[in-house]
Amino acid sequence: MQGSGVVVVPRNFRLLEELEKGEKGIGDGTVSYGMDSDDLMMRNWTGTIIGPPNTVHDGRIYTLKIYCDEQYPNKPPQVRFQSRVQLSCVAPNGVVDARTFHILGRWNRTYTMETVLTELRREMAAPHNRKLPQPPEGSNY
Amino acid sequence: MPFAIRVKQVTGGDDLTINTTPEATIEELRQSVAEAIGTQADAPAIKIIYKGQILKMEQTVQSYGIQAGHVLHMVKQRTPGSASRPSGTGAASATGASGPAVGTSSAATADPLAQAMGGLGFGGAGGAGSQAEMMQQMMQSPMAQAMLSNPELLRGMMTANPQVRQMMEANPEIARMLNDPDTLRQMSQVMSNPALMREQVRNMDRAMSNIESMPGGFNALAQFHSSMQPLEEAADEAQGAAAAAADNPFAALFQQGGGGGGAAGGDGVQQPAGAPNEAPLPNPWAAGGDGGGGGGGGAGLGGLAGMGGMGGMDPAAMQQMMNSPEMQAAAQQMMSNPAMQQMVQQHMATPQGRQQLQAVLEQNPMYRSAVAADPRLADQMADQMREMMSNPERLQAMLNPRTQQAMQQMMQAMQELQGTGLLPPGMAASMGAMPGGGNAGGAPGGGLPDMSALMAMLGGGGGGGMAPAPPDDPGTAYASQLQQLQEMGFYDRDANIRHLLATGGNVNAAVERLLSSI
Repeated sequence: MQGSGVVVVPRNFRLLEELEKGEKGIGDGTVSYGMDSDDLMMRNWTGTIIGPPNTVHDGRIYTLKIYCDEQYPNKPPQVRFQSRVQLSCVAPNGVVDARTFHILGRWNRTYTMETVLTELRREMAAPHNRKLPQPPEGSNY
Repeated sequence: MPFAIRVKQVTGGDDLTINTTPEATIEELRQSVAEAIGTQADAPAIKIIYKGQILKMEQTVQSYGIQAGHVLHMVKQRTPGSASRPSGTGAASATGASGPAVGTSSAATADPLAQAMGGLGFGGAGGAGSQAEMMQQMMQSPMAQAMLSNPELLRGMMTANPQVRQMMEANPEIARMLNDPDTLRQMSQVMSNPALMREQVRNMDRAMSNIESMPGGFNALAQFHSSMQPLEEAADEAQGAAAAAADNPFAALFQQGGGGGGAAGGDGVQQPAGAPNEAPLPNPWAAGGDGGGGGGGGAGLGGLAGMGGMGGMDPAAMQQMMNSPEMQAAAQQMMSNPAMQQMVQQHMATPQGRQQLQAVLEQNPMYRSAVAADPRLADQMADQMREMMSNPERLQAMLNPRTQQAMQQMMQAMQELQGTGLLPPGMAASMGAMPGGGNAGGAPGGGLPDMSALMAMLGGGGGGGMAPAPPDDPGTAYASQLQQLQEMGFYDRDANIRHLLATGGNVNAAVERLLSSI
């Protein structure tokens, strides 16, 4: 803040903002997220992505775990798929790879969990991902 | 204390307001949702999502902390039966599947029906099935949207097609339909919404089954079909040409759109084709009669397929190029060389490759003027071209003799279009300069970039002249998009407006640009 003219929103305020937005619902509803209960530090979050149409993901509901450590939003959250999925940016154990998923790799503190989810959804519709054979629906890591 | 919550339908449809109580179970909530969308039987297929969780049916509203004014999301998943069919609109397969569903009709009667349906505009959708995603991309592109939202333009294009004109003369019903801006608007609305389109296809399907199971219904349908023969032929021809033209995005677009339009007409009696309707059709005859008009729409748009894409080609230049055996042989050879394909793909993936392509394009006066008139074309073309170039199959298909034949056919249609004054003759003239300009660009791959530039123009040029001017006041015109961007965390309003203008209001594309500029 020191004369920079830009207000840096502290972690907790930012997360509360995101929490409220999650409750009110985002955009067209193709992604959704909320905080896991009983976590005073607001670290553990759950998100869902509805698979984009005209891809192998069409109509599937993917659940993800998002972990926002103390560094958030200066550092990206850790994102892990709970539902099994086959994507170029997701490791075999379900962790979203920051090296191949540019939103995490080139994190910007204005990004939110919503950005992460919508971008992941867009990734599903990318030409190199939309046709990948997928594990049976409903299976988890 | 009962309270109201809002439920968003992720798979398309208006938001629902549902009254519930803290003690209600999620199962009860789901029943209310199912009632609100009018399909009680579909309740098991509905999943409710809140704060990133799929809600468990035995839990209560209270246990999830759902309160008044909160927003839940609902997804209606496909039933296991239809889940097996490939994703996409899959109109043709849906039609075929109606056979077993109709208990009274034998498989034998279902088959010709399916064929008939295929002819009546659905054929387009089936042929384009593999291009479903392509289609969707196209539909969401600002250019296509702009085109489709202009009924005048659609009508102009349709009446310029001699086959459609002939059809209209012979059949005043169809003429009236095609001349009615409302119908056209409805059709384009349906086309630009994949969920709606699926819905329409399904409705049409159901209407047909209804007719079929009525005494004498099949005969009436058969008669109807034979009276639609010319239409069907026109549609088929267009479809064949377009399919051969290998993924000409406009062809895919209009074919599939045609299918959707056909379906829209099919049950236009029942409902304004603006919103999905789940109710069965009580009067199959009315639906069938109107289906004629719908089929007309389908064929009409199918006929358009080629023209949209062929934008401003110089027929002579193109023909010459395509007919030269050396050119064909060389290109074929190049395409079948895996190393070459790899190289092209790699090349396209680098920014330099893109720039080079850009340079090739810049050589062309028509491209320059088109871009000057509408900056977003530039990006679009580059993207389109990259996608084409990175797909060896598509490139191969372009060099297919059938493709070339189809292109020539389209070019003749183009000439006619010019004759009607719909396209400025200057366009065609400047297109003639293309192949030369491409070579001067000197991108690696010898003759290949020429082709790609050409191809890109096929796709882009058509829409180019027609893309409307950007809105006068972007701040208000893109208010909702601006807010969305703001919510995503892009706080620079000016930059947001700039990128929205460049992408014609497409939020996703704007985000992409914003992110790459950071």
